[in-house]
Parts: sequence; C-alpha cells; structure tokens
Amino acid sequence: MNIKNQAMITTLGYIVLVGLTVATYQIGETQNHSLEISLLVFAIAILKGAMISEQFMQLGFVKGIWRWPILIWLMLLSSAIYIAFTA
Amino acid sequence: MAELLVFGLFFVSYAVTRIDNIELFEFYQQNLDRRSALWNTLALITSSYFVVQAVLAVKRLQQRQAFIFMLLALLMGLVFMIIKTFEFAHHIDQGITLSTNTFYMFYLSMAFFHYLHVALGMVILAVLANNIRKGCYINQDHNGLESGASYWHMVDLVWIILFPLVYLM
Repeated sequence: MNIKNQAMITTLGYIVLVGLTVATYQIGETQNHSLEISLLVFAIAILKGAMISEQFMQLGFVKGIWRWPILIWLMLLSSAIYIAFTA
Repeated sequence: MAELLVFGLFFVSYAVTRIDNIELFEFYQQNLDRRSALWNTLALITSSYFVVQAVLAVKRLQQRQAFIFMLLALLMGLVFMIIKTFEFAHHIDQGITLSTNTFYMFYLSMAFFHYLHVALGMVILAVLANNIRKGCYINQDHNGLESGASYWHMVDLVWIILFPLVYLM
C-alpha cells in the first residue's frame, strides 16, 4: 500500500477512534451500570486497541509474527477481564 | 512488550480485586473526573495520530511537515500531562493517597505509572522532532523513528484500556 493511502486510512481510523471514544464516554455516563453495559464499554476499548495496533502502529501492513503480539495481548486481557467481571 | 505485560498484570489484578469489593470500587469511581479522562483520551489519540502523520511525512521526504506534526503530537502530550497533573493535585488536596483504600491504591498506581510513561514518551518525541529537524531520517533508515513512534502508540493503547476500566466500568 502506498503512503498516501496509508495516510488516508489512518485519518479515517482517527475519526472512528474519536467517535468510539465519545460514544464510550456517553454510554459510561448513563446511570444504568449493568454488567452488559460494562462489557460493551470494554469491548469498544478492545476494538480501539486493535485499531491502534493495526493502523497507528501500522502492524496491519506487516507480514509475519510482528502483527500478532499486541493483538494476542488484547485477546488475553479481554478474556481475563471478562472472566473477572462475570465471575 | 514488557510494559504491556506489566500494565496487563495491573489491569487483571484490578479486575480480580474488584470482584470482592464491587461496592467500594463503584462508589469511589464516581469521585473520578470522567470529563477530564475523556479529554485526556482524545488528547492522546490525537497525539498518536499526529505521530503517524509525522512518520508518513518523513517517508514522503517532507521533513518540515513531519517536524510540525511531531510538535503537534508533543503539544497534545503536554495537554494530557497538564490535565492529569491537575487531577492528581485535586486528589492530593482531598487527602487521597495510595493507602486511602484499595480502589485508590490501584487507581493512583496505574494512573501515575502511566503518567511516567507519558513523560518518558514526550522526551522521546522531543528527540525524534529534533532529529527530524536536523534531517537525520532523510535516508532510508527510519528504525529509530518508528521505534519511538511505536512507544508512543503503546502509551496511547494502555490509556485506551485504562480509561474505561477505571473510569467507566
């Protein structure tokens, strides 16, 4: 992928990240703090983390093992948090 | 990766400790300034975005543009640090310390540990900006620039997890 396209994809990713951040804040501000809401908020955070890894760190454009460590970290973390919140 | 593992252990410990202290954690979460945390999140995401643009500008051989993007990234990092410093100062004014209760022990430890990483990240960004200004990345060797940028994105990534876990959930 050429640099111009990477810049455009990053800009789109940035706009999505800002939108998801504001949405997360709005959801968190609701008085309804059910387990489902908490897990939804965290799922959005994990998605944002994956976007940081794939687009900002540009690991989505990398072939081989370097793409995976951060995504695996996010998966392990989300599993542990899910277990802790639903235990 | 070492930093991510340490923060990962912090996050999991926080979540596991919360199981037996849900009421305490939820009560003291309400004392945190969520609006400041929102602005901090937006500042770090914006800063990360400027760092990506700086790296891409270097690859396009647009050194001046890259330098400006790096300065903007530094500015956003500074915004984060100022907001967070006021937040810490507010807690200190309230007499809140690590030993106030379990929630604050975790919150202050994680937030301050992250704060130190932001401070170090800003030093790295300043060095990168200076190197760009001096034209150090004009040849094809961008490894130092990309490593520094990745560190800053890692700092952003950790905050993106910390923000909902401690402030919103």
